[in-house]
Amino acid sequence: MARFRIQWMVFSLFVATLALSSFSAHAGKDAPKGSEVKFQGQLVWGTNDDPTKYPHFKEVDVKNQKILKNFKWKHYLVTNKKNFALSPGEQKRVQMSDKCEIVAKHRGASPTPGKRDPQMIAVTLMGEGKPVARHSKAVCEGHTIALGGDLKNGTAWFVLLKRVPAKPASE
Amino acid sequence: MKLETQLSIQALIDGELSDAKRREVERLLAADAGAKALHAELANTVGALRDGELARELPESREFFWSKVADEIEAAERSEARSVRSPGAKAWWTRLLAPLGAAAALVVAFTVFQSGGPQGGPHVVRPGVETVADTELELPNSVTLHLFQEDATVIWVDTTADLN
Amino acid sequence: MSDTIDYSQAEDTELVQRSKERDMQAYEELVARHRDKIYARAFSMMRNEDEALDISQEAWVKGWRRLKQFHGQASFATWMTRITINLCLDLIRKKKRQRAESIEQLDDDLGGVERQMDVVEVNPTAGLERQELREKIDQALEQLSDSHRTAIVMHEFQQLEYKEIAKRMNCSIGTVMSRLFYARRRLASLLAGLRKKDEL
Repeated sequence: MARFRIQWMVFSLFVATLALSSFSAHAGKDAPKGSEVKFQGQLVWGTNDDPTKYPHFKEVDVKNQKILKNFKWKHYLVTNKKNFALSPGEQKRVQMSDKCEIVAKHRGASPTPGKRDPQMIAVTLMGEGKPVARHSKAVCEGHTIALGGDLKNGTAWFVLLKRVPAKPASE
Repeated sequence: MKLETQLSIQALIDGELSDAKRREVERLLAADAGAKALHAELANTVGALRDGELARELPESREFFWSKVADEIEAAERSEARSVRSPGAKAWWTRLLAPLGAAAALVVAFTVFQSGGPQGGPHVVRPGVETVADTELELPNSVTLHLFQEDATVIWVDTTADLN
Repeated sequence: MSDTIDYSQAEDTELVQRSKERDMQAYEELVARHRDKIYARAFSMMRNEDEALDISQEAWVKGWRRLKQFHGQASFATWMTRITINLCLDLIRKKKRQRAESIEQLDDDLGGVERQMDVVEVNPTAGLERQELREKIDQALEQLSDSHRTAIVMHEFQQLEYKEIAKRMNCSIGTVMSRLFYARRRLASLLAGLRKKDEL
């Protein structure tokens, strides 16, 4: 009886493997080649206001401060953070605030290969449901795309999208 | 047989006759062999055509076809947004805005250059930063900065959005 | 992250609703589901791969931009095929304007040879498998004039009434009836010919 059960389990496993492999082969038929990319998205508010007035918002990290120091504001406060991953051919909508959404699409591996695994990514920034900006480029591991614009009250918004390396770099 | 009669036989098959006309055509079919034969031929053809469209696969991958559709949608929406932004009849003084704006930009750029500080505005560029006209963004009034040291691409969109 | 749904499992109505709210991923799923049908309909009308492909693309762009006008009276696929047919008609008209007056127009006016043809007494499609029949119909459609084929596609595949076809083709109901009649008679003859060819 026990021997029969083991045989049955082996057989079930075999069938499941076959089904899975045929499904994945079929599912991947139309997807472009490339590797999965992971992103960290941050919605940042650029302001000259005293940041202690906004205790629930933290200042951006040092690396992002370096990126944003090209702009005129004194403080850059993170208002929201989202992590997401994209497989080749996949498109995701990431809600950063009530009015701001990122549509990120993985368009496959870059035609020019490189050491840091460049993958073609198209990013569309949606403001109140309408496309505000669109950028399409080969994004390497560790690279950041920062989109920004003025706000009506003299402050600014930024969306920082950093491609997180697959293997964390030893620092 | 008159064309009108032939078309009536067809309309009977297509269910496009009034009750009175339908009864009239049915009487004709019962009495006229030629009309009956034509009715049979048309009915066979209509029957064959029902669900008779050959299935075809669009000869492009899902990914590629969608990227073309998405690009077209975005392009159409951009041009729509532009046409909304530029009404046909402009006041005389609006025509002066472009040259005045360009002059003002020159003055601002000169001032920033003279002061050399990063506090002048959002597009202040430091050494090691490449500023390029954006071709990938496909939006008017935008500037892209490639920050090689920081390994980042910064896109400044000249629009007043309220996204927070 | 936006509220997550499994787009591939969602009903068309939900995807349409999300698309109306500018959810492009939902629309992408709709495109993926119905793109072959739209392409097939465009091909049936145009009989040209490139034109069918261009029209399919244009139809999907137009669909997105007109989503607010879709209120669900018909299915989304039917609504999209209507947009496709209108685009095909526009292109056919444009091409026609570039040609001299065509023989088919004269046929419409004078009665054409189809009126004089003998009735096909044996059903040429009897006993054919559905797929085989579709292939034969496709071959026969290839040989019809643009206006006759359009009338057939709109009536038989799109299931439009005479009145609706007349409106779209910008002609009288009488013209629609005669176009359909000649087209059907010619199709019967073509299908009989194709059947005979197979039997030889």
